Amino acid sequence: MSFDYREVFIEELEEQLQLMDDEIMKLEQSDSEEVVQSLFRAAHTLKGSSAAMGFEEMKQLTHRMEQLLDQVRSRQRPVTAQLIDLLFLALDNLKLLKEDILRNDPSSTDISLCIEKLQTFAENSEVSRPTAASASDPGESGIAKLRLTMSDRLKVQQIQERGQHVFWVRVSIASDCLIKGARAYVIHSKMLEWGEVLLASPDLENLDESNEFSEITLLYGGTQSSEELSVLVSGLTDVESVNVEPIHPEETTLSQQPPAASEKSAGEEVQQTAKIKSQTIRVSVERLDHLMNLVGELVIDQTRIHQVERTQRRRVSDESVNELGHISDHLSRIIGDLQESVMKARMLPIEQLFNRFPRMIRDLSRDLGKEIDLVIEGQDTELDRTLIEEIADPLIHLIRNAIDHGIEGPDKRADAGKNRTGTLVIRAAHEDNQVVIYVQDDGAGIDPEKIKASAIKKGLVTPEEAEQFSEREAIELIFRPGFSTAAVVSDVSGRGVGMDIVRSNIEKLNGMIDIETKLGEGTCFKIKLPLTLAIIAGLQVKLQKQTLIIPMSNIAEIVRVTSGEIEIVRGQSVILLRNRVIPVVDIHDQFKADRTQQSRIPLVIVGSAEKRLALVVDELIGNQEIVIKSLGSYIGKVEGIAGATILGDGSVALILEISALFNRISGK
Amino acid sequence: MAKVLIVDDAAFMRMMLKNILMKGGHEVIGEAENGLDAIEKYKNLQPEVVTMDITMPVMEGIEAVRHIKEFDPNAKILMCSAMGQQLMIIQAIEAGAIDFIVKPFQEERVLESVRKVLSN
Repeated sequence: MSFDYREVFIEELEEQLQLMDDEIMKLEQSDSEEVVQSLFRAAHTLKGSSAAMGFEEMKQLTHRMEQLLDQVRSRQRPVTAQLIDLLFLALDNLKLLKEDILRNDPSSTDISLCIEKLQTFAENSEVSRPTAASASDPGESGIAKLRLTMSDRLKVQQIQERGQHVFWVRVSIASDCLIKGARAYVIHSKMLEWGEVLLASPDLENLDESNEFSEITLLYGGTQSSEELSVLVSGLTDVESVNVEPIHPEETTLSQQPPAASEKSAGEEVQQTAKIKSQTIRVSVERLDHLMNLVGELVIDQTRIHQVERTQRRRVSDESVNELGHISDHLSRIIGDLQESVMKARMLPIEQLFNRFPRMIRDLSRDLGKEIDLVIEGQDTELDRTLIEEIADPLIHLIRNAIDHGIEGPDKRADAGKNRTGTLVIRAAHEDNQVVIYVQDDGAGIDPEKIKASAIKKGLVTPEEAEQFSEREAIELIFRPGFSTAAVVSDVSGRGVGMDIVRSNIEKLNGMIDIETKLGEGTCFKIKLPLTLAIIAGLQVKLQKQTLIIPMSNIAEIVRVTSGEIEIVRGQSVILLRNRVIPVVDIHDQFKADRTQQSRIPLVIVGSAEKRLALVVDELIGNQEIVIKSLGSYIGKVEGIAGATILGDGSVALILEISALFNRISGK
Repeated sequence: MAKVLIVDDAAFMRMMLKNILMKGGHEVIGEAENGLDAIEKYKNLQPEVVTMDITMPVMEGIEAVRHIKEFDPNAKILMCSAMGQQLMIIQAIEAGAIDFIVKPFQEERVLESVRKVLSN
């Protein structure tokens, strides 16, 4: 049966782990009661569900965490750096266990070391627990050994004078009962419904969980007969057997000094937190994907209806065409809204991803001996769930780079007259229907000369080529495959994943990455992403009779030039646009289209990072929302084609993959 | 059998309890994910039995027991607790809860407790 619960369990596990991550960080900053409480709750919840799922190791670990946190909560243990480290250690182990569960490989992580550390820590600095009064020694639970105080004796006599009975009731509690103290308490409070309880052993006021007993003894006074009482008590949960016997007259003689009464334990304050969850339901991503597909189909049909309406209007003009026009307009509004709603349903705040960074940055800066202030902005910016997942790796890589290569060590910073503490800003924002993520540091910046030297040394460019490079082109070398500027490859960044992978990952998402850097002042990476993957804005262009689509996100600008403006420099056609030389690419040959002679040639300037290319096209048609469809399994992946879409007239148009074009050019 | 309201902040736990209760022939008429929610739902749904988790955000179980008992002194509330919550259970019983069950839940135990609470 556990299998049905697995998915829910894992989802909640992830939430709780993230919560712990945040809260431990907060705890490190300031020791707040609320934070401890929330951490405790998270550990507690996980303990419960992992035990139910039969994940024994996770249960043990969360149990240890809970124990420690409980000590902190009750102010018996201060929050120390060691404690924080230990909590992080435990959290990391929990994450490993989670990975094991995801892989269905429950035994690959050994957490015994971690558990041992937690245990030694908890025991070594053994805290003073308010110990239970010695009066409740579980050993002396025998009936005869319980002594009555003077006031008890008086009470017994009063009850007997009223004609009621006084019995010693001995209750054996089932051995598999888990929280015996609480069970004893429930039995005790039940007895109060049937009469009075004059005495109880073990002393219920001072029970703590370590108390092991299997029997409780109560002195009952009331109207029930011994048989009735026996039946009532044995009907209670976890009661194994009951023994009821009348009190001996000798026990109630008024001649002994009563022992001191035990003190009351203080009631625990119940803490309330003001966190209110918004009303949500969980929907699997698959369903949303399906909805999005359906909306995509609608978008296509809508463009077709629109097309039909236009052709009809050219031919005839009567009421029915007008009506078709109205319907078509209304439909497109509704589909637009529908598309937006479905898209929004798939969107999550980027917070989900950003939340992972503080911890990562804390660990990294510690390992590298750097002081870093992290500023996160715009974490409520929403984007498509798939995008959030896909952008995680590239972002992490950029952040690692910023900390490892960007921000200097404190001493070096001080020498350069900067604040010892570096600042890393991670910011997300919506900018014209796109999401832009910035990773900005105030570190050393990128030195184009160093980059050139390194590229030459690695054989990526010849010294002659390097000579020709502008500063910007030199910096762009970092996006070349096989490039890494770190003098020593640290284990933080530069583990084979280079900036080229970062860029190609971003471009796969129809995104763009830009870099701005100033030597000595810092570097800023700017990632632009579409809001969603399934539907993009595309520019329709024509090559002879073929319609092609260029994703808007790749387009920097569109210009029209005369053929005279296209020059040939070293065998490559180029244009000069605002003092920048941009290679001109003609894709007519690739698509087997004849060239058209025209006086003003439309050029679509497309960009990838800082690079620009000018594509020669025959005609510009216009931009439109298009639904990306794969080419299907028969055709598979075609170099230079990102997919296809169906146009209003029912024909298929190919979508160009701009990054592949760039690769082709640079590969030449 | 009985109309039950399940209160627990973990959807996972609610799902487990729900399955157990349904197997035992009970009807789960509502679920609440914190104490405040529980009070509201108790008033609206009038369940015969409430299973109440102790540690929850917004409002903890014990506080919720107090409020529900204030509203309906005959409310039958069964606390759901984990190891290590003895004091909490005691407070809950003081507040008016009838009995408690311990996580991880065992089917027979849960049903037995519900049966006993009902016959109370």
